[in-house]
Amino acid sequence: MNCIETKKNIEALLDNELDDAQKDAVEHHLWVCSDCCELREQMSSLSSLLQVSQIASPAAELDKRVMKSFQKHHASSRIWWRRVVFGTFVVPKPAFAMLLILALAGLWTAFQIGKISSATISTASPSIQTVNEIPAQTPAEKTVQTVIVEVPVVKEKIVTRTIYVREQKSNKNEKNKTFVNSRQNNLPLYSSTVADNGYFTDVSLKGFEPSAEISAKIIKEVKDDEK
Amino acid sequence: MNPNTEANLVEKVAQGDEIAFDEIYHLYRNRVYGFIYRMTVNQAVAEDITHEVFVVLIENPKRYFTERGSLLTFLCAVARNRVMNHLRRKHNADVGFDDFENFDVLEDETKSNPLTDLLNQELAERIDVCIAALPPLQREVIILREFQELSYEEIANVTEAELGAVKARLYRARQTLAKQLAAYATSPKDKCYELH
Repeated sequence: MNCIETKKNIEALLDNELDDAQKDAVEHHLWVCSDCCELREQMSSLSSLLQVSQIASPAAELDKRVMKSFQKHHASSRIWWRRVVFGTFVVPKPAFAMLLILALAGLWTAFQIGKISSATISTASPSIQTVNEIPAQTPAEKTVQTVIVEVPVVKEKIVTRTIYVREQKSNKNEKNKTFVNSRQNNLPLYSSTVADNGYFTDVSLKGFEPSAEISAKIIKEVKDDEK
Repeated sequence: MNPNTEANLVEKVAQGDEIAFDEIYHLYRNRVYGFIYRMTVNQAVAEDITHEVFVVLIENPKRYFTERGSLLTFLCAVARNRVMNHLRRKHNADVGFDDFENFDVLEDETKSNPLTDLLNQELAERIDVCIAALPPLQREVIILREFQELSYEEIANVTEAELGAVKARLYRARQTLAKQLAAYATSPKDKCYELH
């Protein structure tokens, strides 16, 4: 290796940037060339000299600032939903509390309305019981009456049917409920409730045309003695 | 530090592990601050930029890739960008960024009597003045090599420069410093004459 090549590589030699072969070649030249050796020593002494320069550590305040930034960043990350909800607009706390109360009140009201509606529906949907069950009742109850009702059906045809009406004791929401049953002449069951005015309402004639809501007027009551 | 260890620590930092961040911070704080301080020669600015550098790590830890070098290289690269922005703003009125390579070197003011500057403190001050007087592009490579002890390749990564450019800037910086600090250096001739 000649002086030109060596001078190019002296810095790399001092900085440990040469591979073993290059290092050997440069060092060999430095043994035999005093000019290049002088340059190497000059560079080496400069590196040593620069190490004299020491700077003071940063102020302790910097440590606090950096750690505070870390804590702040990760604290805000933990409550990410707050950023999502309140990131773009700010809701004052009293307004938020008011909205919350209104929402709860609305829910409570809806629940109460639903409760009343469900009671009405259950009242208007009497269960169908077979006639066979009626004779099965004990004589002591004596709640079975026989009534003759006039039921207007399809094509204004008046059909008179004898149905059995049984008062049924039930809860307070169903106190006016009466089940009406009939299977006369092998007709299918139908049921109804009796309103306070003496009319049957919500008569459901299953399989007995028309099976729509109709009203039926009691035209004759048959006492137990007359049966 | 082992790159895998650094990657694990950075992963923990991303998950909010304060102990891991504390370890990284105290490991690299002085080196990052030292680089910035030597570049800006202003303690307040150096502290602000050091803070910003670590905030980048806090907020965007995923920006660090093990394949692209050590964590120190990453931190120095972030610091370097901010330092250059600072210097650009500072010198914008006088010189453009392209002139950084040909920055005017301060004249040697204490060449007169080296005997009066024997104290290390004074020598250190002198060295700081000489380094601060280097053009920014030369200054950064000499600091990264001599004080941060980065390899040429790492310096090239930090400064986003070619390897050849790094070597050339380093050479010019050393020549300038050797000239300015010649009075304080031991005579190289003596050692060489001893050898030959």
